[in-house]
Amino acid sequence: MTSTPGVRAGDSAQQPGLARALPHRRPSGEPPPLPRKLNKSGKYWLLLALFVVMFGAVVATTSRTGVTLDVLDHQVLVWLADLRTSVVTHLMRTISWLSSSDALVIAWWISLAILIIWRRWRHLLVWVVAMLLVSNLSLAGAEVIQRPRPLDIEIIGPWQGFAMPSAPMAVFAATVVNILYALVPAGRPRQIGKGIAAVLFALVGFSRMYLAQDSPTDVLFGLIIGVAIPLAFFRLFAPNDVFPVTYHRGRKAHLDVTGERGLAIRRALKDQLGLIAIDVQPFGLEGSGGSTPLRVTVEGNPDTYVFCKLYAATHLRSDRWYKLGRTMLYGRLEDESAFNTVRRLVQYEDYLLRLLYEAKLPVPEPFGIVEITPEREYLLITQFFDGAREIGESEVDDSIIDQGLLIVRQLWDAGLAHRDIKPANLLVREDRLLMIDSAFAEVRPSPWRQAVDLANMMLVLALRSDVQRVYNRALLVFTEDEIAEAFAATRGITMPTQLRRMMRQQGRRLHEEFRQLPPTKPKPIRIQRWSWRRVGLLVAVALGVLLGITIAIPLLGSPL
Amino acid sequence: MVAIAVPASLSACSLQQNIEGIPECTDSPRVPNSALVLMAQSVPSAQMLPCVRSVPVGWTFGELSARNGSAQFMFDSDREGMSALVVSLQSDCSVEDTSQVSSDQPGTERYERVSRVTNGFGGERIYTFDGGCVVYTFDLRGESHAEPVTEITNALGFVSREDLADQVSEHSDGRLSLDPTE
Repeated sequence: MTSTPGVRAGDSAQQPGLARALPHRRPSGEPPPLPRKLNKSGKYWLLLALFVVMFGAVVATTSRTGVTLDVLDHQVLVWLADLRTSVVTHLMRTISWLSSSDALVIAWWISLAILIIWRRWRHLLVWVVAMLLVSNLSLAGAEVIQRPRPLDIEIIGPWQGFAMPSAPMAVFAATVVNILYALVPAGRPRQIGKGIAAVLFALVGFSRMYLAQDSPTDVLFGLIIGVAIPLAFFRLFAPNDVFPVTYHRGRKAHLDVTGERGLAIRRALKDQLGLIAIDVQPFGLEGSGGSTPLRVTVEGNPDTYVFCKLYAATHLRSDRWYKLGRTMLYGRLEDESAFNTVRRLVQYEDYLLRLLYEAKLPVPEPFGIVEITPEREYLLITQFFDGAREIGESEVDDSIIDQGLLIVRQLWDAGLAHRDIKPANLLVREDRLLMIDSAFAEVRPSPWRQAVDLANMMLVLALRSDVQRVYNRALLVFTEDEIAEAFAATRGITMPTQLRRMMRQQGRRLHEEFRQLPPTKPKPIRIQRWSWRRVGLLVAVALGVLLGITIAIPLLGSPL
Repeated sequence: MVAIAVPASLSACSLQQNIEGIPECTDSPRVPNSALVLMAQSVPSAQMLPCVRSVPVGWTFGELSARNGSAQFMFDSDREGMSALVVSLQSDCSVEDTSQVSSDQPGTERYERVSRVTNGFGGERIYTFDGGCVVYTFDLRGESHAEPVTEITNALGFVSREDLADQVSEHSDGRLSLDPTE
C-alpha cells in the first residue's frame, strides 16, 4: 500500500499511485447505481390489489357478477361443509382464532414491545401506517360492496359486518407480513418465515371458509390487500438495505455495504470518478455515528486506499434530531439549522473540506462526491491517511503541539472553524499532525466558536502531555487574552463527548487547570441562549408529544 | 381506493345496496336488501326483521353493525341528540318490568318500559316474535316527548324472513336461499 504523507502547504495535491479510468456519464433513463425498488413480487402483489379494488367495484355495481360469484363461492363452501366433523370443526375454530381480534391484538403488543426495545422506530411507523390503511381499506371496502355472509349455508364461526373483503383475513395477513419485514432479519430467516406465512395464510383462510365465516373470494381479496400494502410500504419506506432488521447492539446509523449496495458503490466509483474499487470495508465505525465510514481499496500502482463516507437519509434524520435536541437543551449555540436533503449535506461537507484543503490545512485531499441513489445516498471520497494513528494513541511532543496550535491559527486566519476537534479527528503519522472530518466545519464562524476550537485543541494536546507545556507553546501563537477567552467559552457540551470521556478516564481536570493559567480570568461566556425559536420549539415538541400520545392510545387496541 | 369512491347505489347490485347500508323496507325492486340479509344472518332464528321505511327530516341513519347473535342500527337527531334511537335485533329479550300494549306491527307482541320522562324521554319498546325480538332504545334529549317518538317509530317497520328469503331465491334464479336448506 502507498503511504501518502499528510497534505500540507507545498504537498502534492494528487494521491500518488491512484489509477483513474474514464468516467461514464449515465444516460437519461438509465437507473442509478442503487435504485429504489419494489421488487417483482411487490409489483405483482400491488397489481393483484389493484385487481381486487377494480373487481370490488364491478361486484358493487353489477348485479349478475355478484350473483355468479355468490353461486361459485357457495359450491366451494358446500363442498367444505361436507367435510365437517366435530373434531375438524374444533380444530378449524382454533386455527380461525388466529384471525380474531384477541389474537391480533396479542401479536401487535408483542411486536410493539420488540420494536420499542430495539428502537426500530421506522419499522414501527411503517407498520402502523400500513396497518391503518389495510384495516380501513378492508372495512370501508366491505361497507361499500355490502356483501352479506355466505348464503344458503350454516355459519359456525363468529363474524362481524359485511364480508367482502374479509377484514379479519386482511388484518391477519398484514400482521404476518409486518412481522416478517419488521421483526425477522432478511436472508434465510425471512425466507423460512415466508414459507411459514404461506402455510398460515392457507390454514387460516381454509378455516374461515370451513366455518363459512367468509366465502373464498372474501378470503382471497382480504389476503391480497393484507399482503400487498405492507409489502409495498416496507419495500419503499423501510427497505432492508437502509433499515436492516438486526438484533445486535450498535449504532443504527451504519449501513450494510455488502450485497447490492457494495456493488453499487463499486459501480458508482468507476462510472463517476473513474476509481476502480477492489474492496470496500467499513472503517472506524465506533468513532462515527453520523455516517458510514469506509476504507476502499482502489486500483493503482500499487493499489491504494481512499476514504469514503456514505451518507443516507437516516444520517440526515440523525443530524436533524441531533440539532433539534441541542437547540432545545441549550438554545441557539450557533447555526444549528438542519440540512434538508442528503445531497446538500454531502455537498456542504465536500465544500468545507475543499476550503480547508485550499487553506493549506493538513486535511485529506477531497476527491469528490458519488451518487448512489439520487437524493437518498451519496458517498464522499477523500484521501486515506494510511498508517496514521489517533492522537490519543500517539506520542505528543512539542512539534505535535505546535502543529496542533498552528492548525487553529490557520483556521482563524482562513475564517473557518472545525467545530469537532477531538482525539478521533486528529491523527498522527510520521510526526505530522493531520485533521479529518469536516462535517461540522463552518465558514465565518462566531468568535465564540473560534475560541472553542482553540480550547478543545489545547485540551486534546494536553491529554497526552501536560497543561503547562501546552500553555507555554500556545503563547507563541496566541495571546494570553485569546487563551483566556477560549477557556471562558468552553465547558460541558461545547467539548466533544469523546474528549470529555477521555478527561474523565484520566481523572484530570484539564479545563480547570488551563483556566487558572492566564493572568486575567474573564467571566465564563454564557452558553444557554434563549430565543423565540427555542421557546417555540419546546412548545411545539410538547404539543407534538401530547398529540402523539392521543394518537398512540387508540392504536394500542386491536387493529381489527 | 377506487371501490370506496364508487357510489354503491349507482345501479342494480348483487343485492340491493345503499351507500349508508340502510335496511330499507321497500320490496321494489325485487332485489333483497344486503343490510337486511346481513341482519337476518346475524339472528338466523328471527322470523321478523326490523327495517326502515324512510328517514324523517332531522334524523340521520347511523351505522349498521351486525355480528353473529345480534344486529343493531341507530338514528341521530338534530334535536334529540346522538344515538337518540337504537334498534337492536336479538334472539332473546327480557320483558321484565315492562307493560304489554297492543302491537302496531302485525305478527308481533309489544312491550314498553319507560325509564325517564324528564329532560326528554328514555325508555324501551320491545317487539317479540317467533325466533327473536327487536328492542327500540330511546334516549331523547330534546324538549318534546311524544312527537319525536311517534315520528321515528312511524318510519320503522318489519319485513318477514320469509319474504326476504323469497327475494334471495328469486334474485339468484333459485340457485341460492337465505338460510341453509335442510
